[in-house]
Parts: sequence; C-alpha cells; structure tokens
Amino acid sequence: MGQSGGAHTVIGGRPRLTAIAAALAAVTGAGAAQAGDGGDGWLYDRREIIVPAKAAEVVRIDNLLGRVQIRGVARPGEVHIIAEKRASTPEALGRLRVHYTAFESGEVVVDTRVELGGRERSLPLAGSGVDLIVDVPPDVAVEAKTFGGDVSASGLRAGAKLETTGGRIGVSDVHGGVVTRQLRGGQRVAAVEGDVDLDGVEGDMDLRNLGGGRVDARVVDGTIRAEDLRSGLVRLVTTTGQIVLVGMIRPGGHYDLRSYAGDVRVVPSGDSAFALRARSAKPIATDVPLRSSRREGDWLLAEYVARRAAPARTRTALLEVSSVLGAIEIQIQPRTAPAELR
Amino acid sequence: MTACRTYPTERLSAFVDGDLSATEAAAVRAHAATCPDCTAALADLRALVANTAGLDAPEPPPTLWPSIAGALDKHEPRGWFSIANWRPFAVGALAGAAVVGLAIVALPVLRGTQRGVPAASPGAEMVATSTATVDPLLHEAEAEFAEAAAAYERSIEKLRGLLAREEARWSPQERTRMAERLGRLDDAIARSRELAHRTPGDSAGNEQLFAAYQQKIAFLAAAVHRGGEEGEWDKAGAPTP
Repeated sequence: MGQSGGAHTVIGGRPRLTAIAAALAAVTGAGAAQAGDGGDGWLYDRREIIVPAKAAEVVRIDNLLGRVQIRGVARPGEVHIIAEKRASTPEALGRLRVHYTAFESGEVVVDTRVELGGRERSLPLAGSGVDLIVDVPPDVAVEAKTFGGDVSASGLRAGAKLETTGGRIGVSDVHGGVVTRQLRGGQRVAAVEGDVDLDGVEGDMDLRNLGGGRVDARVVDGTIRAEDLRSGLVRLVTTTGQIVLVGMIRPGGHYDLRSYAGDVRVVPSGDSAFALRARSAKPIATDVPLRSSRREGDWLLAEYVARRAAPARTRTALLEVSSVLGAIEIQIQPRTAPAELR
Repeated sequence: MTACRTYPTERLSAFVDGDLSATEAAAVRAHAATCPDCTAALADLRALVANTAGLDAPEPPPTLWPSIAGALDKHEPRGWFSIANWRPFAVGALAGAAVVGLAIVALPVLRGTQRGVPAASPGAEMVATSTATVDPLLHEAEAEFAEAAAAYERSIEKLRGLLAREEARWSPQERTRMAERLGRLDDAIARSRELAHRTPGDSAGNEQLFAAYQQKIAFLAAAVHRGGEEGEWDKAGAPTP
C-alpha cells in the first residue's frame, strides 16, 4: 500500500494512515457472517461484504493465504468480497485477517494477513488460510497475487495481471492486456481480447481464442497448447515441453514457436499462405504442399501457397518453428467430412 | 544511506515494509539482485525491522482512535472482517513512524556493527530461535517458502543439465564467460538467501530470493535456447546477469 502517489515515508508513515482513514470511510455495508465446523476437522468462517468504490480504477488483491477468484460482475461503484477463512483451532482462525483499503487515487487494495507476535504479516500458510471471491465492476483493472492458491479472473474489461508461486492460473472472457507470472501449477487462458504475456517455470499452458495484438508465452518445463489465436504476433517458447498450435494462420502474422527439447506441431486450418522457416534435429514431417524449399544454414525455408489467390496487398504470414532436440510436424487440420459422405 | 540513485532509501524501506505495488516491488527485487548498494541497504533495513520487532508498539494518542471510530460507529460490523481489525493497522502505522525515528538514530550504528557479522547477528539469532519454535503458523510459512525455493532449485538443475550439453560445443573462452556470469547470479542468490533466512517469515526477503532465482532461470533458459539454435549463447542481444 502507499502507492497512492506522492513520496512514501519510511516504514509505514503518514500515507498509510491517510489511506486507512479513506478505507474506513468507504465501508458502509454490514458483512454477513457464517462460522462453524466444516465436518472435516477444519473450522471455517465465511463473511461477505459489499463496499462502495465509486472512483475505483484498479483493484489489487494480495492473498498469500489462499485462493483468489475475481469476477467482473459487480455493479458500477461496488466491490463485493466473499472471504472464507479456515484453521484447525479457533485461536488460529482469529489470527487470520482481511483488509480492504480504498485510496483516493482510485486504487482499491484487498489483502490478507496473519497475526504473529502481535504484528500482522502477509505470509503463505500450508493448511490454514483465507480464500477470496472478489466481484468487481467489469471496467476496473485487476492485479492479484497468491502464493500456493489458485488465482482466476473472468468477465473483466480492463485487463488483469495475475501472479502466483504454486497455484493454477485461469483467465477467461477478459478484454484488455493479460499478464501472468508463475513458478508452477499450469495456466489456462481463454477468450481474451488484448495483448497476452504469460510466463511460467513449471506447468502446462493452454491458450484458446485469443484476439489481441500479440501473444507471448514462455515456460521452462511445460507444454504449450494454443488453439484459435488471432493475434498478429505469436511467440511460444518452451525449453523442455512440446508446442502445439492449432488454427488459422493469420495473413501477415508472425508465428515464432521454439522448443529446445520438445516436439513442435503446427496444425493450420483454413487456406492462408505462409512462409516457413524451420529448424530441427530430425527431418521435418509435413503433409502440407510446400514449395521453393531451400536451406539457409540449419534452417529450412519454404512456402505454402494458398489454393485460392489472396486479395491484393495481403501479406504472407511468417511461420518460424524450431526444435533443437525434438521433431517438427506441420499437418493440415482434417476437414469435417462432407455431409453426403457421412 | 544508499549510494544508488535508482531507489532512494524511502522506496527501499517501503519495499521491506511490503508497501510497494506488485509491479514496483518486482522492479526493486530485480534491481537489488544486481546492485550491491541496494542489497546492503535492504540488509540494513531488514536488520532494523528485526531488531525493533521486539519493541512494544507505541500506543496511539488516546484521542486518535475515538476520532476515527466515532465517525463510523453506525457502519461498524464487528468481527474479523470488521473495522476493529484495522485498528492494529493504524497502530502499526504509528509504530512505523516510531521506527522511522529509531532508524535515523540507530541505522548508522547498525551498519557499523552488522556488516562484519551478518549471519551471526545476535538479534536475528534470537528471533529465529524463539519465534520459530513457538509459533506453528510461522513454521507453516517457512515450510512454504522452503518448498518454493526447492522448486526453483530443481528447475535450475534441470537447465544446468541442458546447458552442459551445449557447453561441450563451446570454446574454453565461452565456457569461462558463462561460468563468470553464472557465478554472479549465484552470488546474488546466496546474498538473497542469507537475507531471507535472517528473519523467519520474511516475505519481502523471500520475494527477493525468488526474484534472484527467476533471473538465473531466465538467463539459463535463454542461454540454452540460443546456444542450441545459434551455437553462440553470448552474442549481442543475449541476456546478461
């Protein structure tokens, strides 16, 4: 906190206090509470609160204690928070806290803390924790961070930035830029109209129906499967995993697909022309009629010419594919069988 | 306090306090991983926080809280998700202000005394032994941090294995340059690890350690790809630690 502009004084000075006062003034709705034994050895306490946030432009959620689910379904000017905390003892349950702070700058911060030695701290816990469902107006930007808990965002219209150490990441139906950072857990990103920048160390990435200007996905140890990408620049890089790209090759698009140790497979649909630049330790397997094949160092250069002539001034797509140790396969997507042959 | 002009002391302090935005905190972590001045300044600030953690939090003036709460009585939902739970936060802010004053007075002393014996700082040692054995939640947090660090280490080992395959094709000079760059990254990780372990449950310290791991992973992954594709891992444009 304290990002509301202006200089920050050392270790939580006046800006924080100002912000807290703003937050207190903003809270009007009484929270609905449910508490009890979940029957599984854990104690649960569930609260709901609706807070007014008329000038909210960005909502930041920092929950190292559990999961975060963000939905762009709230009415304008409101943030609806559902928080469920769990612990094995009432004493531990009472030490888990949720804070809501509204800054005058239009930033809203929701964060969770655990009380340790009389001081509240933002820490990950293995068993005890707090899960958050945060409903925000669709037009606010969202940033969320977890440690071991899953983090997801849907229905947003001003982009999302999601970060987790060990949780899964899910994004669907988002307009605006999407940025993710993850150590492990895997990512599913679908139905985004905006630039996409994904980064992971371990875990598979599943991308579907992305329509922004660019898609940039990088993972060290995981497979990247991408389907129906309409972006003009697509860059998919994995070190040890495979890459699978399925769908139309956009005219004029640039596709850069690189794996060090895994296979790369491209299954183009439609009939768009593309120039191919490919490099692989193994022979490149393809059923696409390529012509003008030639070598440039380790790279194979070839072209696919569409069966139907493209409109004038249509630029040819560039498909760069590389696998140092694996194989490359370019395979025409099987067409749906004609009705008369069924 | 820090000779680095990129981040003044108050921004580093805000970072240690967990008060920066995720974006800015990430920028500080990335910068500190390669800046000895900022690394030292962060060590001092963390030591200060650790050494002042045992002090009693100063109570706010008796008129402060009633002046805030009184205006909000009609809205106040009691419970863990309530205004009452923000009270310690306000107290924390005042405690922070007190720490500022203490920092101005004590920091030169701390810098002078802790540089020589960072790992054996008596204050840090005391926090480590007394708190970790008492609080199971702190133990849980430390286990989570350790598990994440182990995952980063596993990924680094895997990449080192792949890099070794490429290195076999490099000249001795190239291998030496790679070893030097990896050595710098390893130094940054070692420094960050020492800082993170100095105070149990240090989220900011562990975030900096994870940032150092991430930097090494990004460098190794780029070197593996570039070495495999071009045979020249350190040509112009290659990332440098």
